Amino acid sequence: MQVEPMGIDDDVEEKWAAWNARCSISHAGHFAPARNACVAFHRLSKLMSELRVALGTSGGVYVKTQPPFDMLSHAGDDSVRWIPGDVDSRDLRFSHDHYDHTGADQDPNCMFPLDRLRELASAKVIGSVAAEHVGFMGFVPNPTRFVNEIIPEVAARLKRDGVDAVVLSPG
Amino acid sequence: MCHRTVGLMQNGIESAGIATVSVSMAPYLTLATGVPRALYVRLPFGNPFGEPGNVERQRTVLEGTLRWIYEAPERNCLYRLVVSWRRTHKPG
Repeated sequence: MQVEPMGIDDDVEEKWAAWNARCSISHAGHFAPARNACVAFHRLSKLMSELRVALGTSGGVYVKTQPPFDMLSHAGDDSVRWIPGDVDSRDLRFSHDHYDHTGADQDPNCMFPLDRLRELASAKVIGSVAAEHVGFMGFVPNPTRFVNEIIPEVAARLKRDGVDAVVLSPG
Repeated sequence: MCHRTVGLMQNGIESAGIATVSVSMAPYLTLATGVPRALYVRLPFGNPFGEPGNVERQRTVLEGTLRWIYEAPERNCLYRLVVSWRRTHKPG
């Protein structure tokens, strides 16, 4: 793979402040600033071919038999849909109105590449596919409960499944 | 807001001792939120792993992110995974 350093300029904080100000206006009464005060960094001791891997996306993925995410509430939706690792990807749906998910509606793998992950496991590039994967929805203006309650529950459930690594994507 | 939500989820999972990596299409939001590892891709929102039906591209991005779990030099630094969008991609 070809990877190159990003030439990120020094105005990240300025842009971040402007983004927060815009959100405070557009989601008035619901928005709360949030960022990670301390960024974790867990080094793996296993080989990639031994990893149990899960996917996660804020793109609003759910199985067609599950309830879609609530796009009507101004407070957003901080709930989680657990996606079975053996689900037929044709049964995946996306409920998130803040991005164009036309592509994902045609082929869920461009947002939530579960078929590709299963192929990597079959080819023994990774060890195994997690029993469950994490579907959530990016529109969470006030993430207080999300951070304090939902995320720890998600992490604990992934740990119980023996997950070593998670690949996440935004909507 | 999706990038912030991903960053918060990612860091919470990493804090529990599970390695994480994310794909980003909004670098400053990802960096400002603070994430363990991320790769920027110059792909349209809604298609972080590539075009619908482009199995090869989806696999390249997914495998690239997995490799980045091992190769990222430090937390919350941003590198670009070099991929390009093919507007006229036809599956098969």
